[in-house]
Amino acid sequence: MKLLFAFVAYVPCIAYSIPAVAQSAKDFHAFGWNAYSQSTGDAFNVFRNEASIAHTAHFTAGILAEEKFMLQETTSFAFTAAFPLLSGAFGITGKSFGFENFRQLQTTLIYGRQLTDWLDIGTEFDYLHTRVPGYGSAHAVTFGMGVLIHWNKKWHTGFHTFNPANVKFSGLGDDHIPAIYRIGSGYQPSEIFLLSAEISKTTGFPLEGMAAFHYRIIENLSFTGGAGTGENNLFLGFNIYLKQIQILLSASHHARLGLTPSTGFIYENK
Amino acid sequence: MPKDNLKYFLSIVFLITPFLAAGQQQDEQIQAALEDLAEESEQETEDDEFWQQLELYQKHPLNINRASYEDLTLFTFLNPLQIESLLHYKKLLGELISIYELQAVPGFDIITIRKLLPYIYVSDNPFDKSYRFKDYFHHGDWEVLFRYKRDIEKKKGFIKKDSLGRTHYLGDPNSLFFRMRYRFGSNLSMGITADRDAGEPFTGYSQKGFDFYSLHLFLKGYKSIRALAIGDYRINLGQGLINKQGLTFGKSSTVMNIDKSGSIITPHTSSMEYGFYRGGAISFGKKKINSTLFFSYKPEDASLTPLDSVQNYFKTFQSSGYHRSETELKNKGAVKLLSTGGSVRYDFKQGHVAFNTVYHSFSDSMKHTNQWYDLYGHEGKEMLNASLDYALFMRQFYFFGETATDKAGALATVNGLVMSVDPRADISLLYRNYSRAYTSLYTTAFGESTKPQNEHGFYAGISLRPKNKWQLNAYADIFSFPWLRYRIDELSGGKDYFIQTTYSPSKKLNVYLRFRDKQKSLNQLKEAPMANIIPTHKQSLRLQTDWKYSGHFRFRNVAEFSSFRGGNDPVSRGYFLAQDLIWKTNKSFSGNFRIAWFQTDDYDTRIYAFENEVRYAYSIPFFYGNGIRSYVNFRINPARKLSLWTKFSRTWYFNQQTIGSSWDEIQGNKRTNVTLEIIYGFK
Repeated sequence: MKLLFAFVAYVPCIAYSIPAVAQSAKDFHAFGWNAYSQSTGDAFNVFRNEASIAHTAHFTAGILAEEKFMLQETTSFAFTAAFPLLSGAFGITGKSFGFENFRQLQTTLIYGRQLTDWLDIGTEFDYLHTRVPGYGSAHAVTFGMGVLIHWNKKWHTGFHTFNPANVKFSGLGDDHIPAIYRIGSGYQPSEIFLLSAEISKTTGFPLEGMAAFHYRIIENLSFTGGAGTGENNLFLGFNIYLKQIQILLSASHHARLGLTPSTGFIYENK
Repeated sequence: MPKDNLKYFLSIVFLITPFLAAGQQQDEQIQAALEDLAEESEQETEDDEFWQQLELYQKHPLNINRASYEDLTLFTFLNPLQIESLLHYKKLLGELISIYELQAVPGFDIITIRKLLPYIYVSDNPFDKSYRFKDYFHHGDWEVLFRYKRDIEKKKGFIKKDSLGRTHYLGDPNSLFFRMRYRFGSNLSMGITADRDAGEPFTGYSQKGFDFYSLHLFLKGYKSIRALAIGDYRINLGQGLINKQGLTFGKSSTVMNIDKSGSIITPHTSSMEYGFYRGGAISFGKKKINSTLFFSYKPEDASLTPLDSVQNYFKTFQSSGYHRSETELKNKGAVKLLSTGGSVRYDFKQGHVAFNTVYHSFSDSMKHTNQWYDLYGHEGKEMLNASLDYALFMRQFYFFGETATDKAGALATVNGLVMSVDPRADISLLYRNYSRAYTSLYTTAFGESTKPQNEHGFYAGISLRPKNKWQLNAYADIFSFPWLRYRIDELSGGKDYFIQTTYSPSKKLNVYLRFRDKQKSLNQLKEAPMANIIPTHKQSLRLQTDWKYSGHFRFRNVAEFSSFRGGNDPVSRGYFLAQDLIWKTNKSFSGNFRIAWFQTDDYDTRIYAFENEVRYAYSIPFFYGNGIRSYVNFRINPARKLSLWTKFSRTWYFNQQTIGSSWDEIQGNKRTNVTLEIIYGFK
């Protein structure tokens, strides 16, 4: 029954060829919220806004895995790595969604830098690939941009867009790749607490709002949680900090389809 | 037409503004919480015990140095961590020297302190804690209250006669309420309450005088007796999964107040005829272990249907308390209810754990209806519930919860966490899982429904104070129903989002902007054998300002907009504008006035609005249609111990020939209500 529900929920995505991998910030709900802050060292911030890479001070890498509604067929994987450059930073990410009969892949190259004390920018170039055995495959190259404004130490605002040129897939018909527009803001009253809120619009879908908090309870443990207006709209998670490594555990909840567990690791060469 | 109505409304506002005025002032968060409560339950409560307690503390402020955790839970604007923080501060640094010291208590901001100040004072006077038992009976206050209320326009039930020449409502339209009560702080209370609703006969039809009488004697904090109640009382156990009586706020702008625990035994003093026990209750213990026992025998209203030649059954208890017609009188006290139970609680330094149980026995069998949504309703002559509840303070975290079971083994659980993550930020989280088959009687737990049954949900709330004058409260609640519900013939769920920003630049000005968005499913065709289920989406936006112009004048403005969309139907909209003028010249005279304009496309966009009433009373009428509402409310103290209150209210509906429906229908487009109240207080 749950598989049927999941299939029904994902039919629109497949029908419109919405690349789930291209919406990683939607899929990996619990991750990347530090993008709207001055915190560094969270490799997954680029999933939310590529400009967040600008302050990368050390080599950072991470991997993530998520099993949507605890179904093997709707599993996502992602990896990310970021290197500081003389001016700005460079990053690469890879994402995979699906199973042997339907697979979507995305590879992204990211560059970001600080323009002024209060302004960071970033851009990404993406290669998307969808493969459905027996039907063929589709490819596309597109891009995205991000801006982060640090009003002061406490308030931060970001803008992000993905595929603003409305590039389509070639092959498997001329399927659309949705454009994504996102505006978010973070309030960080102290180093241990961050509250973020975000509004995003994906073409073909209603406007979505989401809010999340990140609370560093003690040196080695932080607690994160959030809620949104879309599907899978609640999540809770923990981060465990062990010197250069972070272990991330979280779960999001869909009212009908149940839980989606996620886990990840981040390494920072500090 | 709406534009003309608006002009009419505005001209009245400007004409009357210079002359008018106020009385009792309740915190806007409490008002909003009551509005939400009325909207969820779709009925007003007559429970005024909460106001009585607040008024008591306004008259005799609470010494904050003597206040217990339970005392402070009355102030709904304080969250559990703030209360614990204050108690911890006193334990660590000694008693407070002045009210200004409250600013040094972690978690106390200026907005909270301003709200608390009318109800407290600071004293280290040892006399406060050394009253002897006989002082309880000599140093308290007596209060005698008499209230008369009447709708001027007669309802159909008072006019239309049957073949025997009798009207449907057997009594006249006058509503009467009497209460005589003695109180010594919160330590001793005793009194009598009598109530008669409009339409209830005073004599005849087996009636003798008032329709409802209530007596109570309540003692608190005497030696090892924590609380003792004889007569009418209420029991509150844990988070309300097995027993919670009295006023309980649900989701509201007080987003941190998700803990429903409070005093276990409280007296019942209001005119509510349902939701209390009659008999005796005692809570006793020393140091760490406290026990509570209660016993009650009380008739409840229900409609009995023959089950066979000997036995009857009923489907549900009737909670309205109305006994106006022959049918309602026939149902009065039809089922005898015997209830007993108790709790054993172990208190430790940072919290408590308690085991609770409640048993009910009915004189007739309860039987669920034939509707699918009621498939898991209770059946039988007995009901048994047991639960385990806990509370734990750990640094800046407060954990609490309760897990309960019924006789059939169905489970219900609610668990929450309130945490102070920063001096400027608090977060609350709550998870609830109430089985579709879990049954209980007098319960009100956290959730979308009032009963803890057939619901799963997560709730997350945040309270932010980014600047001293600004406060932001928000919550998100995502819920689902594992079985059908009334008017929802499929498994469904919903979302409820709320955000409120409050700006309080000074003691004189308070402004808030509130937005609420609620999505759930509903049957579209109510009468069809298989209803079409549609998603519904309701939004409301309110702007309210409260401006203290001078020591004598206050102005309050309310503007609210609501919208509703059901499935693919067109969006319907509602508007509400109100101007309040509040005036207090001296101790002898005060009053308040409101004029409001409303226009809604339908019932779904109705708007609830709190109204000031005579003392201890309040109302939360809802408005739909198109019209103007106005009321004026005065208090005069002709003598030191005597106060007279009066309220005159009228609603004018445009484009309507009748108001209300069924036996409450009024011919015409006006509805007028008069209330008179006399209060005599003496030592």
